Amino acid sequence: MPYGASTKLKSKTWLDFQNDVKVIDVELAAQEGFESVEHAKRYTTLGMATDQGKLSNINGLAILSESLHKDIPSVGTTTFRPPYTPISMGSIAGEARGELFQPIRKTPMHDWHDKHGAEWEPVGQWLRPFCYVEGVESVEQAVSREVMACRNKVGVLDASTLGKIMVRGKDSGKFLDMIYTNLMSNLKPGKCRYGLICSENGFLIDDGVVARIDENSYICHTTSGGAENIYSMMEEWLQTEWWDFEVYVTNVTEQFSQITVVGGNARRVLDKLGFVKIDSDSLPFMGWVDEKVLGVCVRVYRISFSGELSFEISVPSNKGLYLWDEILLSGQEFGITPYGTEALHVMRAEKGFIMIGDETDGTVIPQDLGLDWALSKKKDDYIGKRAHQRSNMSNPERWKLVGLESTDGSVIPEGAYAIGLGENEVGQKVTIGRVTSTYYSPSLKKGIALGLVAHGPDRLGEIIQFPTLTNSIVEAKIVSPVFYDPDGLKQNV
Amino acid sequence: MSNDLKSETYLPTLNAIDLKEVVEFGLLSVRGDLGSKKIVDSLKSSIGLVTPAVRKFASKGKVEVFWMSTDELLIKAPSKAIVGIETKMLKELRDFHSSVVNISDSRSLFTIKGALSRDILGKLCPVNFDKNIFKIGDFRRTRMAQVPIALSLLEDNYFQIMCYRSVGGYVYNLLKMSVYDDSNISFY
Repeated sequence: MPYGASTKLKSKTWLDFQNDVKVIDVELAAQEGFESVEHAKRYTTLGMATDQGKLSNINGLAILSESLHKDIPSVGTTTFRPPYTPISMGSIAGEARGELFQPIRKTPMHDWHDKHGAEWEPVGQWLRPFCYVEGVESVEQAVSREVMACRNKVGVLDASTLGKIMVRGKDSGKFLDMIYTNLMSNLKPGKCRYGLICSENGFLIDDGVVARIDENSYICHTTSGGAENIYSMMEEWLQTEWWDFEVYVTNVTEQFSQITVVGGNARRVLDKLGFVKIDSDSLPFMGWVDEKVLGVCVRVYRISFSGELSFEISVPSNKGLYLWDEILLSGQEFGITPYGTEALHVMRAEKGFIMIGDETDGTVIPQDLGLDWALSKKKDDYIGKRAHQRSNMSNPERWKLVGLESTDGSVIPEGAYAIGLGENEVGQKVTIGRVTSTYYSPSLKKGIALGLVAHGPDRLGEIIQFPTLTNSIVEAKIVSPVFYDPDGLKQNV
Repeated sequence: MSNDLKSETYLPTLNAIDLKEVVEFGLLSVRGDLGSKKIVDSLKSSIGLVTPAVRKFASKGKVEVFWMSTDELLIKAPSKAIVGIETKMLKELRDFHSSVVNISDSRSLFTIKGALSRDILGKLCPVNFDKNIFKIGDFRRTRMAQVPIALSLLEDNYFQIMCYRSVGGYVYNLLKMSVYDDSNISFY
């Protein structure tokens, strides 16, 4: 530093290149009374980066000593910490390279998917098939083929990654009434109910089907990415606030493989394998039964995320691949088609079912999604109830879920915002809604989307505009979010 | 990591180390007040073992019981025996605040045996494997590289490693890498 340099120069003179500490910062530290070298270090972050001051310390100490009118040796040095002595990048990376770069969670059917053309999609730490590409078809063609197979014949999905939490104890019902926004304690054994979980601030964080197993036990299904978080959340509430509830929770996600058989032919495929309790009287929609098939004890849930007749079969993981193979074999004559997460997404969007992480982003409450019916009015309390009473949560200006159909049949771009009239206080166009999910629907042969729109449900039939990144505009009609089979006739057979 | 497990799979032996995947085992997760007479009695009558001390496991023949936390035990037994133990415990603990859940298919299990086993695990887990610290009968829940695992020392230089089933392949590959002669650190 040239003697007598101006403040302007000092304020642009970097001492510590890693932490952007300037000459003026060290002088300020001394001026503020951080005279000890250790205090000056912490005030400025000088020498705290991975080089531990190799580039900067001597100069930094010289500046400090000058400011304090002391010799450099009497100012002293700070404590150098590893990695003061250089180490190789290999030591830092350790084992985390190549196939060990990060752990990949695999279902029991993983190798099967790999052998059958799976395009992979990361879901949490899991890899799930996005779709299975056959021959020369494109990924888009594969997805459409898989959707149409489920709509017209039968499809099969590896749903093993779904979170499964066993809740046991005489206060289980009371506990789940607090965890879920809806009432779970009045569910009858043998029945299932779709439920929502909110954070303490009322935002929707997870959803899934709860099945009552017996008087004192339930199985809660969570999203694939949410299993560990929801399990931890349940433990935390039990250990901190509700320690007097007689409840234990066990994460059984990996104990069971889950195989979903979907479509008009689903029952035929399972009949042929020897399932005997799956007729609509023994197993109505939103029910479950235990069966023993091919020597394996399985649990069959009659639930549907696709709008089709659908059976979700839970089988101990050691037998997961075995049952998967048998179902495919049995289904051959009925045109069975394995499908991936994208076909699952398209079908749920066609039915207007929300997806955590698409329709929700940490700021969305159930009321925004038209899920008011799942917020129990009979309960005194549940996580999120108090937050829902805040004025902002009942603000009629909150954007609400609707369906969107582009007027030209195209697929509206992902994440597009709808514009209104005028500009906001910083001169940007006013936005009145956004797309949360958007797909080409092979069933309806056009682009469909779900989105959140201001006063959306009151504006059915209106046309709104979505500017695209290429400065064109896509016009879309506001419609009901249920595009396909609105009366639910197909799942109820 | 194995899918439909039929027999013990023997994995390659390197560095005079015997690395094996164990199959054919059953697991029960037991939760409740571990000091209560009900749990102590039920353990005794169903598997003939006492509640293990903190970070220990107890064993008898092919049955082991691990201390998982202040209110959780894990029982490991041959797969043929596990449902019997589960049924007996569920019956004995029926009116007692507790939970017994069969989680037999949810874990992968490996054993590693040989003079260098402490070094091999030491490279992967933040645990002191010194002979005077990690002793026979000790049990630790820790991490191996990036995943949670549980370790028990069955005999001298003979460890059992338990991890979630979905990352069994990852844990096996970690062990396989750590076993290579070139990477020996001869620390312990």
